Amino acid sequence: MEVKVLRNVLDANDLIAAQNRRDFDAGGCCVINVMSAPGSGKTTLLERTIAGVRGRLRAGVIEGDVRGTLDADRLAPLGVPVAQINTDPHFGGECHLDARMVRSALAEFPLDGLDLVLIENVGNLVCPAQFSVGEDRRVVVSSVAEGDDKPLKYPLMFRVSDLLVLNKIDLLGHVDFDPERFRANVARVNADLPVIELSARTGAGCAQWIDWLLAEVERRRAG
Amino acid sequence: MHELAICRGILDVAGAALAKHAPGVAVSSVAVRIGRLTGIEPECLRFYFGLLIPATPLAGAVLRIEEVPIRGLCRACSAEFVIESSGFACEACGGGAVDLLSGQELQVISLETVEEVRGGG
Repeated sequence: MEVKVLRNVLDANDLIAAQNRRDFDAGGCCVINVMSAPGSGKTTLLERTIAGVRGRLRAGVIEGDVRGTLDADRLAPLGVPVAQINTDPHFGGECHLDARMVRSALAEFPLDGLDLVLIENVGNLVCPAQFSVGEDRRVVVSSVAEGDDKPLKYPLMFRVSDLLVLNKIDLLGHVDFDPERFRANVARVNADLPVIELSARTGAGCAQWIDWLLAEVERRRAG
Repeated sequence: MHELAICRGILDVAGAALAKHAPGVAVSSVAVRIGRLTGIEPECLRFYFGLLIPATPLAGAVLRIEEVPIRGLCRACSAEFVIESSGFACEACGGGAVDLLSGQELQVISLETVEEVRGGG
């Protein structure tokens, strides 16, 4: 006898993501899920971001790592709420954040007082793309040091993202990276994906990123 | 891809359906639909399924996998095509504005329960 099921495998995750979304909405928060390979510069970008929105937005960070608090420790002195999720040991050492893990951080997180929540996902260009956590927008951070072919190799990540930040432009000319070929590769996978080029280390191009965040917060407020 | 976590998800969804529609009945197979864009490797999924299934109410079931190709629809010229290479550009006009019609599926489709064989004859 056939029992029809027709349910998404990740239904359970999506239900929790919807609960997260309701909590984010109740707090009036715009939530950005920041994903990338390890070492693309996400944490440095968040440091630059927190400084860049100071006085204009109230920001908080939810940090995802397999182990340790290195990233949360870097951000703590900046005076914003920071929560650290470790997938090991609490969540089986998973290689990505999912909705349940993010939810676990929300109980103690002051959503009511925040306009912008930045979720720094586990460094991984594959799995985080699969798991909604209740975010408003997904941002993928690529870096000049990773080569210009990554969009072709990780199509799901570049299809599900709403913005691509190309970091470490201060390294152009020092590594084999062709910005034109990179943009062409991005267009081959997702022609709708806008690209912002910047250096989180030097600050070059970061104003455009801050403007994008401000616009997203405003869009959320306007409903 | 983390096929182990996905496999657990499949067993949760299938187990819940079994408990709801046919509690206590033996299951011969679980059918899933996996889109190519998910990057999930079928043999790896089968491996974990085999490891995890004996300890569940679905013990004895085999995994049937329907793989779904990535199909694109060009917004410029309305062509539909299968995407196999690393580019998503339209095969007909080369345009880059392509919506996906399929390829991201990750679903449990159905269970097949074991019919009771009546004795005699």
